[in-house]
This record gives sequence, structure tokens and C-alpha cells, in this order.
Amino acid sequence: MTMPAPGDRLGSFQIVAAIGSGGMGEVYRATDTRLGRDVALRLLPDAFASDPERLSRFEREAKLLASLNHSGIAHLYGFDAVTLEDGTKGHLLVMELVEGEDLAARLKRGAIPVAEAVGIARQIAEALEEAHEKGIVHRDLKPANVKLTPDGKVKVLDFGLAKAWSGDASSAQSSADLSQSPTLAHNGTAAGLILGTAAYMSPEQARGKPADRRADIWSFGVVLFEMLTGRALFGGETVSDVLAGVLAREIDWSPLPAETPPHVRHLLARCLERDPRQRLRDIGDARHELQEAGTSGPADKAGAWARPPRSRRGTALLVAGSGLACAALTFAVMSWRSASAPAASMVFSVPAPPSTRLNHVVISPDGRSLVFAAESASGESHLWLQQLDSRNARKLEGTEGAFEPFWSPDSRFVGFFSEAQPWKLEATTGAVEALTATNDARGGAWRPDGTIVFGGARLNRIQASGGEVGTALAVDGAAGENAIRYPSFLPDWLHTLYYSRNAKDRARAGLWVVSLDTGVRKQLTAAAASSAVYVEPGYLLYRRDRYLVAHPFDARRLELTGDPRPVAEDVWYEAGVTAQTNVSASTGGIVTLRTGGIEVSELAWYDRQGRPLSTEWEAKGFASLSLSPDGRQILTTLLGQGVERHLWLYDIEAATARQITSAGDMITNVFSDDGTRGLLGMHSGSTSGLWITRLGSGTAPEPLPTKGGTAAPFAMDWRGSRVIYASVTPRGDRFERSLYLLDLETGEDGPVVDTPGNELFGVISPDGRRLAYASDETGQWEVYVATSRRRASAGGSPPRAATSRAGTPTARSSSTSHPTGR
Amino acid sequence: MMSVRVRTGPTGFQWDAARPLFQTAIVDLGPFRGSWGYAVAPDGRRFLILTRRPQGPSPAVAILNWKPAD
Repeated sequence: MTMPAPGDRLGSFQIVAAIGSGGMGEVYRATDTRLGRDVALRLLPDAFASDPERLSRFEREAKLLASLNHSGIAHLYGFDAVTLEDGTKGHLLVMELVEGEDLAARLKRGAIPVAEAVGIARQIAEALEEAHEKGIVHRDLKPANVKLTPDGKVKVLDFGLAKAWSGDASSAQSSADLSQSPTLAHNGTAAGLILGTAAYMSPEQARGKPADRRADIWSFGVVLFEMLTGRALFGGETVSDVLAGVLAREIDWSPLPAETPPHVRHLLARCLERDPRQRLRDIGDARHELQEAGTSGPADKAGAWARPPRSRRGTALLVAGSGLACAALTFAVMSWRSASAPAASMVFSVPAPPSTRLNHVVISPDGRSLVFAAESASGESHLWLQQLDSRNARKLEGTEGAFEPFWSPDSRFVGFFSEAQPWKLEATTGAVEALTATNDARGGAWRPDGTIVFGGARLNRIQASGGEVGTALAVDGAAGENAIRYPSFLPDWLHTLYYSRNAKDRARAGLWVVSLDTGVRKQLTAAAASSAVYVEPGYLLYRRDRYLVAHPFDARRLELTGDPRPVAEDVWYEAGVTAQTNVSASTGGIVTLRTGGIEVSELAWYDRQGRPLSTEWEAKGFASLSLSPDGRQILTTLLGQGVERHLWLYDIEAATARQITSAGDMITNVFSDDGTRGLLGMHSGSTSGLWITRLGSGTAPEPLPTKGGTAAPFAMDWRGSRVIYASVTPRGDRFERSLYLLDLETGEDGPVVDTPGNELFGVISPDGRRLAYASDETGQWEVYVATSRRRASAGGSPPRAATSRAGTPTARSSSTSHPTGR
Repeated sequence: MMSVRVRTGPTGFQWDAARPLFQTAIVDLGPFRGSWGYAVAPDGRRFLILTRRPQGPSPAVAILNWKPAD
């Protein structure tokens, strides 16, 4: 048989070019002159055509294969007999011509990013599912049989040809049949072709046993593994080596990238079960596992920013509080990477760095590192870095005062806050760089393009490379919103979740999402007591009461779906409406959280040398403290049911407690001079303001009309008829606090200290002539003393000015940047 | 806990450098919560401080392969 050359005609087909050769003949690009379309022609070899029975069988199979009609399957148009140039008979398979690069060529350039690989795998699974439902098994699935088209589609080639070629009803394909693979070798040798075929063969095929669609599922797993790792799962110099690997070699999972989602690992493990009875039985299950928003393949707009999906089914419920050590965590994670994907969830303790108190822990997106914010015994906070494959955490110098760290998406940098400004730190070198100045940062998030957003009195935006801080989202002051906290990006990196604090309307507080492009915002739920993190395959993790819950979430429609379900209990949180909790997740789905429930504290007495004397009441989640002038009673606030704090009066001598308020959210409280009344700063319904209550009377607090802003009133001091309170006033997109003096006898009410900064913690001197207060007017918190004639400032830090209270010289300051201690 | 000696009189308000009294484990209330985290007894010799409790050895967990409860 003479091979056709470009320009030759084979029946109605005009040859354009030879495009490959293989065990099942030469393949040409040709033009179908009758239909005017380009096609791929496979010219079957002489030996095949000379066997009429085999030829007949092949024709029957080809008709069946031609019935496959799916966008992910290269179509078989027909089977023709033609007369060649030399007058001999030839037989042609007429196939859809698929443009693009095959997957084998793509893999020569290395691994494919996880999201892209998952998208390709999903399309392969769709094609297999279509064929399997028609009873057709590929039997020779491998990268060379997968085409990646220029428009981002995936097409599987040569469906069923192995069976058609062999004609074996059982479709066993022994090693002796390897050269019969229909796959084409563009530049390789026959030996290379055989090796390439063997590497994707299922164990039952390698043993020469009958193969069904589970063989395709095995091959699918081998292909997916290679896409994720860039290396063949079963390699070797000889066919025997390769087949030995297919049949017996323990699979090394460690090359899988860390960001491989657990459910993909799990899927791989199920596909690569050597016993077909234990293997995933339906490729549709694999397609379902992979079919998730934001991972639609190489043509997906999200591209490299897309996060890989996780299983909807997940595995098991958690119980926090394991007593295992971090070494166990290290072992577990490494084992998890090097063994079959686990069927059950695992919870491991994360101890704080040595001799520290842990304030925050965040896992890196690649799942390889933890960063801690932890305090030493002296109260100084630093960041610590721990690789999960190491037993030791490393203290990061230059991070004094650090809190609430967050990672860059590539896990190379850590953002954090300290001394009223955000910083960035390069994890490998430890290089630290300040980004900008701010005075109210709560939580940050970092986008791949270098945009950092962080919460506070607004949602701030700055570039990781530096520059001026801008406003990503201003608070909706008219609606009562007074803080935007703990942003966290969604998979499209265009929307961010955040917690909205609302002083006036509790129904508008809670979890929100905003588009950074358009500024359009939307409330997701008022039931969230914290912000949330998005975790594949479509959950938001946030805190409700003492539970971490997973709430199904449609990231494309920005809608919660279904009901939230608990994932873990005993989640740490602060008493009050700070929205602070500590939950993080790696891209691959490892979740870390701080545990312990509500932050519990003690009302503890100390002498002037700092020696502990005794405690009052039992340890609870106290959120404020005020001592009566006679030292016999304590006013404090405790979190009630929900998110509102209530006022309690504790009698020290009797050791009894009485709840004073049961409605509204208590912010601050102080005693009157005679200790019979309390001045309260409180949110109640849609009203925020000052209230007065006669302690022990059993009567409801009465509102105290004031002139100052009422976004969040702070009762500061009460001496004689004079009350000092802090007024919160929206100015542009920020809130500013200033001090007001109200005379209860005359009704006079007006600002006494009002600067461009914030003023808080005003206290009147015993002689009534001076006012001490804290201000961040200069950019850092300092204590000032003012008289009616002038104002004195300590300046710098230290020293800081002092004040007197209840006739006793004391200082209100702290070892860190804030007057009450951070 | 810091202290500053202050003097008042005909020459006005004067103060010395701040000096530490003792180390505390005061609860972090932050500046914008506006709440006092401590108080001084009338005799000036004792301090009532909102104090953090000691933390357990493992205050955080990592969860692999999590799943919401059915």
C-alpha cells in the first residue's frame, strides 16, 4: 500500500497533511470535498484490511462509536473503503478534526495549576460519562488522547477504538496488545508509544483480564494525577517496569501540590484502587465532585485566581480540643499527603509557641505554614512562624505589637497590624515593611493583584507595594453602621465578605458581602456573630454562638443556600459585638480555629506591687468594670443570649449578683458619687444614648437626653452633677469621638474636647478643676490633662500624663499603644 | 499598670515621667470600646483588674477534611 501524500485524493477526501502515526494506522488532515469540511482520516494498515472478519467486526464497532454525540468527544463520522493511488484497497476512519494541543504535549511543560487541572478533568469525566451511559468504554484513555482546544474545551479522542481494533468482546488488552493502541505517536518511537500506553492501563488490563468502564476510571485517575503533579504516576525504562508499577507499586501521593483539595485527593484515591470492586464505580460521581463554581477550566475568566473545589459530601464531624501536640499535627499532615486521602475528618491541637499566650493563628493558603500572634510573659506580642513539617516555631523579629495577621495568596507574605498601622512581612527572609498609618484596623485580606483591604471605621484599601490608603467601602452611617471588620475575599477576588457592626439596627448587623468594583453591598445574614471565610466546595464558615457553622453558599449568585450546620463547637470569641473570632482556611481546605469559647476573665484584686489578692464572683466573660465609690459594689457587663451585653450589679460583701438590664446592649457604665445610681451608655432598639438607672430600685433605666452624637455613647465619668461622656460623630467616612460635659442640674451640654482625632476616657479630677482624657490627636494614643484655661500634654511615650481618680494617684496607660491595653 | 506622679499648685499642673507599677494580664478592651478594664479601691492600695485567665496549652486546632454535621 502506498501512503498518500498531500494533494492526493482518497475518494472524496483530499489529503492536506500527515498529522501522526500509530499502531492503528496513519492519520491525515484532509478535506471532505463533498461536505466542504476538514476532517481527520485514519488509514488502516494493510494487515487489517486483509482480514475480512476483523474488518467486518471493526465496521460494526465503528457504527456504534459513530452514535456518540457529545461536545467533549471527537466525533467519528464514518468508515469508508477507498482505492489508493497504487490501485489497492484501503479503509478509512473519518473523524472530527480537533484543533489544539494534546494533553501529553501540554504536560511536557510541567504540572497544570490545580484549578485548571480540575477543570480539564471535569470535562474528561463528562465525556466518559456520556460514553459509559451508552455502554462504550474508552479503554485507552491517556493524555495523548485528550485534546485541549484553543477555546478552552477538552475533547477526548479515539473512543472505543481499542476494542474495535482488537475485536475482543471482553476487551482485555494484554501487554502483548500494547502496540495496538490507536494512539498516535507524533514524533516518538513505537517503544515509546507502548510505554505511554502501559502507564495508563488499569491493573486488570495489565493482567489481561476483561476490562469495563472501571478501567477508564483508573486511567482517569492516572491522568488527573499527572496533570496535578506534572509527572507520570507509573514510570519506568521498560514496559515490565511500568506494568510492575501499575500492578503493585505503592502510590506516592507526596508530589501532589499542597493546594490540592482534600476531595480531589479523595477522588484520586478512589479512582486508583487496584481492586476494581473497590474502585469508584461511576465516572459521573467524579464529574460531580469536580463540577464546582469558579473551576470551569482553562478558559475560565477567573484563571489562575480560581480556587479548587472540595467535595460536597466532605467526611466527618469535628470535635475540637484534641490533646495531641503539634508534632502530631505535623505527622498527620505529612501522612495525609503521603497516604490515601482520609475518609474521616481529623482534629489536631495547635499549641502556642513556647512560653507565650496565643492570640491568633492563621494557616497559609498553601497549607504549609502557620503564623501566630502570641504574647510573651511580659505582655509583648510578636508573630511566630511555623512550618507544618517542623516542630519549632520561629519568632519573627520586627513584629512587636503584632495582631491579627493574614497571608498573601501566594503564601509568601504575611500582613499584620501593629502600632496603628498595617505591615507586611516576607515569610522566608523576615523582612518587615510598614505600609501606612491608620488608627483603627480590624482584620485584613490580601488579593493576588497586591490589593490589601482591612477593616475599621471603614473598609480600607492599600497596595502591598505601599502608597496612600484609600476607602474601599465607607460605612453606611445613616443606617447605623459604625464599623466594617474582618474582610475575607471570595473566590472571584472581586467580592469580599465582612462583618458589619450596627449601633442602631441589629437586624442590619452581621455578615455582608461587597463588590470592590461597584461598591454594591448585600447582607447575607444577621445571624452571623463574626465575619466568614469561604471554603470550597461552596461554604461560608462563620461563628454562631459557640459554634463554627458551615453555611452552603453560591459564590456566583452571592446567596446563602440551605441551612447552616455546625462544624465545630467551643469556638473562641470575645464577649461583645467585636465580631472577633479566629478561623482560617487554606486553599486546600485545612481549617484552623482558636478554641475555648467565650473569652473568660476574672475580677481580680492586686496590691500595689502587683501581687494577686483575691477574685470576685466566678470567672465569666466580663466586658467592662466599674467600682462603686465605697468599693463595695461592682458594675459589670455580661453577654446574654444572643449578642447583647447586659448590666449586672455585684455586691462584694454579700457575694451576690443582680441583673440590672435585660434589654439593649450595654456599652459602658459608671457609678454616681453616692453609688446609688448608674450612668449607662447603651444601645436599645434603634436608640443609642445615655441612660440613668437607680440601682436596686428594680425600675427600668431612663433615657438621658444629650446633645452629642449618639452613634455609640460612652459613659465616662460622673462627679456631682457633672457627667462626662464620649460622643461618636460621623465625619465623612469615619467616626470621631469627642468628649462632652453635661450638667444634670443646669442641663448645659456641650463639647469640652473636640479635636480632629479621637478623645475617650475622660475623668474629672477630685477638685473638679481638671479633666484627664486619652486622645490620638497626634496619631498615637496619649493621656492629656486639661483645665478651663489650657491643656497640658505629656507628649511622646513615655512619659504620659496622669490623672487622679477617687482621691488616689493612679495612671491610666498601658505597655502598648492604647490607653487601656490592646 | 503605670503611674505618674503629678503636682498641682500655683505653678500649674506638673508631672513626672511615667513608671511601671506592676505587670498585668488586663483584658484587652481596645480604645474604641470605651470601657474601663480596671478600678482603684478607695484606699488607693488595691486594684480591681479585669484579668485574663491562664490559657491552656493548646488553644487552637487544625481540622483536616472537615464536614458539617448532618
